[in-house]
Amino acid sequence: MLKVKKHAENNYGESQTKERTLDKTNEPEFNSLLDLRNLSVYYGDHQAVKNVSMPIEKNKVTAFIGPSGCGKSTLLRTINRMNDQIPIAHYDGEINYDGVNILNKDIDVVALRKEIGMVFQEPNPFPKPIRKNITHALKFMGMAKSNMNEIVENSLKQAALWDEIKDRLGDSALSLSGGQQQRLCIARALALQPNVLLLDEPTSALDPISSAKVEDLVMELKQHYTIAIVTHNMEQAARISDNTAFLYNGDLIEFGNTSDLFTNPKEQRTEDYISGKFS
Amino acid sequence: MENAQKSETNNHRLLKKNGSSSKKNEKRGKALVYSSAAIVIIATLAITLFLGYKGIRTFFVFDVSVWNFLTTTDWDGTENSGAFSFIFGSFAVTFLAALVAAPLGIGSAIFMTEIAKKWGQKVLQPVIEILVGIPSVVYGLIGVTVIVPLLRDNVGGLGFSLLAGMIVVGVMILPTITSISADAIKAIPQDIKDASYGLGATRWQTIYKVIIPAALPSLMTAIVLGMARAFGEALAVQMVIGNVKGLPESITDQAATLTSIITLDMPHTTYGSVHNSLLWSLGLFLLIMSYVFIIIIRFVSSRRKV
Amino acid sequence: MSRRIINNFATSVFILCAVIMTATLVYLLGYILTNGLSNVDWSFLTTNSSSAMEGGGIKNQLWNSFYILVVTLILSVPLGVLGGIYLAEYARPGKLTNVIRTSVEVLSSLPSIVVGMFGLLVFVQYAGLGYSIIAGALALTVFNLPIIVRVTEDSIRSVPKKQKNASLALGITHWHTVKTVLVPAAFPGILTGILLSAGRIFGEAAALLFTAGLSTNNLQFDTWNPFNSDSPLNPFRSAETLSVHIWKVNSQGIMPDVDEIASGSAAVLILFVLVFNVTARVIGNIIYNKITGSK
Repeated sequence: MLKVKKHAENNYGESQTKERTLDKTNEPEFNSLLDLRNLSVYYGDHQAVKNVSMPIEKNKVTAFIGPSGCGKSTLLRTINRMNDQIPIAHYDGEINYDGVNILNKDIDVVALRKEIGMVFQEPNPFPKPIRKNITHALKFMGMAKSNMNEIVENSLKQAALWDEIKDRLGDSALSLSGGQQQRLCIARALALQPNVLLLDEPTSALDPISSAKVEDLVMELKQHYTIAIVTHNMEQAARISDNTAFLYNGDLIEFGNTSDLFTNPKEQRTEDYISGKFS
Repeated sequence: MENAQKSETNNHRLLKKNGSSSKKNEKRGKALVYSSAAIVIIATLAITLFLGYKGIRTFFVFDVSVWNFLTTTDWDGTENSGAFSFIFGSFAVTFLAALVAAPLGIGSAIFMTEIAKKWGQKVLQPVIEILVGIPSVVYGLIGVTVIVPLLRDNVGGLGFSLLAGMIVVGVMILPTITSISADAIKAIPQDIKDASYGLGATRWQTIYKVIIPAALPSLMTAIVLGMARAFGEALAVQMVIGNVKGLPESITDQAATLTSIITLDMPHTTYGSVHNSLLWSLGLFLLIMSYVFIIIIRFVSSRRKV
Repeated sequence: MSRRIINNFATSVFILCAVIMTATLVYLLGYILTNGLSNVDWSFLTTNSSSAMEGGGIKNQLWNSFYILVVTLILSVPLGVLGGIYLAEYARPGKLTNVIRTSVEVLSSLPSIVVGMFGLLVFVQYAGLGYSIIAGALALTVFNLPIIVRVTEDSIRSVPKKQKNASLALGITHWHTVKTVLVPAAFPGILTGILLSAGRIFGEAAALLFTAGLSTNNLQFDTWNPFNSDSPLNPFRSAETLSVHIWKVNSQGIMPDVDEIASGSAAVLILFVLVFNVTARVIGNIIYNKITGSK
């Protein structure tokens, strides 16, 4: 049932994937980078995510949709263990990534978060100069100062922000517009060269024009990164994702290729949700 | 490319390693933070234990009777000394001061938050917060130079009296009570007040029926905090109360408090003497009272609604 | 109609309360400043005090007040900030955290004379420090610690959660996040709190009577060797501060100009306390504006 249908939108991504993994000849149909197996997340006694199994494919955009409170953000925050901050949160099941279960107690979450970056709903740049926003983490990692200018420039270029702000890298990041701030947050995550980028409703606090810029950016970025995005905007999911997961009440109702799921949903609840019968 | 390579060469890079620099960094931070927290506990324990030990010693080493100590008024520095007049003096000053400061403070807080909001918050609030920080010796000095002569001329007697203590300490805790009360009233959600005005209530009815009941636990907390400060105040009281060892017969009589007697007698007693030990028992009484005030505050603020 | 009369009457009562309070407090400040400042001139600030004769100044007392303040802040700020970080960031709900919170509450509500007695017993006698700057500063640390702990905890808690998330999600350790994101963002609040507490330390007297002592050597302001007993920097000498001086002059002074000295000292004391308070507010606002980028 979980088949990736070739589609105009992801042909582009597909060819990029091949380019990056030339050595692998027999590519499986699901080229998953992250594999969720029977994942459950609890806050105390409340089970927020129920027994979810699904892949997150490499160099594709996977969207998580569903009504608010369905567990989609919780699920996303589990992937880089941001939920660890909540003392009563605990997990069942596995998320396999690169040969390890990242829910394992022995996982170094600090190292994990360098590889699995996250961008939040509300833009959250540090109240520091733009440049320092990007070098903040690099300095902590002990990177030599000589490399930093190049990384700052590259990551801002990747985030399609360089041209707008290259002359004022010393200004406070808070002087940027909301959309610019969000792209700066993406650039800040990209500077660490992560494998995965988790986006938690990245455009919900932005105006339509800024949202469109961030969407364009996400489509660009999937050439090089694996992206998981939570959104409550179904048009957005349809526009930018390759695969979509519909969650309801903590259950994974349906997962599949985005165009299939939106044009031909298998489950009644999926159809009701995407047709706007409830939200 | 780089990412692909990383994932193939070292499968366990994501597992915790003991020598890693981030782990060391985290450990060092934790050590610092936990030891500071430990010092806070140690300081509290040390004060409680040392004062407890020194204060209780009086009753075991010198065979002073606890009952006698708490209920008699003859303070001569011997085993038969009683501290009741000081205990009475401390409570009298505390309650009298609260009697002055509570209505004035809460009334002013209501003025600042409900009647003249702009003026109250832009001018009065900062001024009051600054007045909270005026040192108590300064209040004592004003007591000596202004209040005591004023009482001497108008009320009679020496001027040094329970009444002077009440006025000085009352004025001293006034900014504290006002400032906390104002914060409490401000914390009441505006829509509760609007609902009352919307029903056609006057300002007084809103204050009396809505604001005061909603803020009552916090207002009580403000008063108790003020009283705790009054009870523990030493120098301002000592400077104006006259420090006469005996029960005052009226409010215009001289009196003494636990703190004023410690302040005065401590330098004149020899370490290890009965007299000295008795002073430590007074100190223990003050310590116990500050625990009692904390318990009262906890009880009162557990009923807080806003 | 009577509703309106009651309402107007009540309003007048509240106005009266505010007027009485404001008048009292303004009179108080005005009295001290006008009455006191007329006794303050350069020589008052720069001559030694005299125990029996007229014309004594407050040079040593003023110096001692600042010296004890600085030593107290050096001791209490790092401890208090770290303790506040513990409560804001590391404390898990449970018994231990409750014990610490109760401790902070107990320390902050101790009468200062009790702190002084504790200091006398532990620092002056048991530790053998004698009446000294260091014993006084240690006692004041007990007194100041809970204030700094609270102010730090509150300031860190008021830093938006999203700042912390941003740092953690970049693979930065919790401690480094605390150091480089949370504490800098909380800094204006912490600094304001420190300056306000400085005003309190500067004016505290009761806790110092039995710890820093009531007398000062004849300080030689050209002897900066901290081990010399007449050096202003010697932390092991007894030191009467300005507030203690006010109390002592008033209760034991035999010089003819007792009133002038006391009111002059009080005016100077109040002025410095005001300076600490106002600077706290101004600096707090400036840094806040700078950090949030709003001008």
